Amino acid sequence: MTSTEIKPGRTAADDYATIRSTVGVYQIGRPLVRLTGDDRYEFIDRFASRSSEYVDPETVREFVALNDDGTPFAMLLHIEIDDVTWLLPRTEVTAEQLAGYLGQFDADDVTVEVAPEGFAATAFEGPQAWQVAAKFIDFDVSGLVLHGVTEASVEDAGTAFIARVGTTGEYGYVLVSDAPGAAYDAALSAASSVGGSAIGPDGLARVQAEAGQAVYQLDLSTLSVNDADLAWMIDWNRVGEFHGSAQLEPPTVESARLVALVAPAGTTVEPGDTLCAGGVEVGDVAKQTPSANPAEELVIALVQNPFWVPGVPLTGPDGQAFTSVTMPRVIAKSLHVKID
Amino acid sequence: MSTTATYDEIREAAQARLDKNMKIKTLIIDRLGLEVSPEVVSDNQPLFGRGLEMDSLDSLEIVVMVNNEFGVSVNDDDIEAFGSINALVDFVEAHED
Amino acid sequence: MTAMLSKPDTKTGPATFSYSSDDIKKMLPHRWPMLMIDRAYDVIPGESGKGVKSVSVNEPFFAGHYPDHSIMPGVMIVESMAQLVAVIYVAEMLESPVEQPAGDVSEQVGYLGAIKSVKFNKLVVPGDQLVLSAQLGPRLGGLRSVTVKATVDGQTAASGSLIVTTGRAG
Repeated sequence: MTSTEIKPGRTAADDYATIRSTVGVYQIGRPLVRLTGDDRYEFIDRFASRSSEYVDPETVREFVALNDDGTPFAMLLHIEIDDVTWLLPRTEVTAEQLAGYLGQFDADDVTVEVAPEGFAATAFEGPQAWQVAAKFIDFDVSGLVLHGVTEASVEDAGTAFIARVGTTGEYGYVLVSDAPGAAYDAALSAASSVGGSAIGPDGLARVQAEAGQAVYQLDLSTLSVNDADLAWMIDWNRVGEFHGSAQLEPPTVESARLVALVAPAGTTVEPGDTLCAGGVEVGDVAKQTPSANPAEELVIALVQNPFWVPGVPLTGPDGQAFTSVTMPRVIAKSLHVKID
Repeated sequence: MSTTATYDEIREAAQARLDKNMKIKTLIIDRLGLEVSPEVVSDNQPLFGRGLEMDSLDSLEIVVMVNNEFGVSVNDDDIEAFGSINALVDFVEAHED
Repeated sequence: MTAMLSKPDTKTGPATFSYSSDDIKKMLPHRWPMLMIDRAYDVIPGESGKGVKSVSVNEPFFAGHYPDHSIMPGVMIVESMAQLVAVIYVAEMLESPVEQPAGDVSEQVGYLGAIKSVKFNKLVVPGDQLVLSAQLGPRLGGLRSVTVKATVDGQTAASGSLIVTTGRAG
């Protein structure tokens, strides 16, 4: 859930163009978790799909936390700075759900605070996102490498840090502080000076989907780890060691999988609509992503093997013509922009 | 592939692509000495920063592998080939004889 | 520097070059106790080459490795091979017909990026002469893959592949 003040009149297409060409700023409304104490890695390892053993200080990584039955509960960013662990959900989850989930695990010598008072995160993504990040750090922004985390200067903040991590394939940063209003305003101001702006969820969702990260906008409760193409995030050598993992089976080539399909602009489908290959049902629609890219529509579907490879023609219930595609569907401009 | 292709034709083409993806994933895993099985490697996640979490040294290994196995050269301009396993397979298919 | 250090060897095929120890000191920034190549020959600039490193009991690392049993550390053999690669690179700049930027060519020497599956087949001891060879492979961005080998009396002492950076970091 992203919350932000959008200028009236801005469309999802405007937001899409902004993220793709300069930088879009948005507040991440999801609850943070703060963990302190020497045993916090042990605590996290009870539910993290990947071990904390080699996590370096001042880095960020991502893992998935599972329910009892092995289905995904939430995807979480794990940020390490100043001997404190911060978890930031990348998928929809409430503070109550998080507290309930984390409450399952013994927390001896670890202090677990869900939604610590006053803290929130702002994100900025796009080929010029580094120009916004530069406003918050004292050293050369090119020195903040991918998945690096460093202290940030935010007016009125007691604690502030910035992580270089994004969701769109373009440059992306997450700024966490206990003065989130000031942080957001400063980010927006910096973004405006390079032609960027505040953005809403639809433009963002479309860019994420085009980068192969549509999972962030899907309802995880309807998908398995394998369906959602999250098997890469599981350390299969640790199965049995983290919550819910005993229920996991590695995917095989026979498994179904989410795939991105494109269709001519204006095509519409509904979640649950069946998709056929040569007249035979082979999958169904999970979600149509927002029509923020005027060139075509992008739909996420759960499709049987082997039809989830690129280049497969599929047909919707009303004859809509789809083709499965390679990710990323749109090459990030950031690939050719050097951070100066 | 035309929209009038039959189920069998579509399936056959899709299977061929799947086999190619698996072959390239196996070669990469071998080359980089990764302890993971190819089924678990995502076809659509980025190769850098997520997915296989490769670094630039790994990418040169891929270049050497693609050269040796498929006779395809990867240049500095071809960075988009590293967007995902699918992007790499697309690149190899487009350039091999 | 723009003058060629040595005359090309006269034979058919691509021009090859030889470099003496004095020549190499103008090409590499390395100095004692880390200058690990004595001579280079059959160098096809930017592509391949051979070299020699004579191993003497007088070298500093033998004092500690080991006090009563002199064995050349494997990593020093790797360093010799890597320095041959650097010579091959600098040769490309020196022997190129294109005008080179002013300044010391040795400043263009890069770094070792990776040591991949190098095997050490034979112990190397004082009195051995390492015959080094290197073949440069594909490149990507600022990185280059290289196949390297070191032999003593025709027998392989070490072989494998390296990745080197092409030029100093910014």
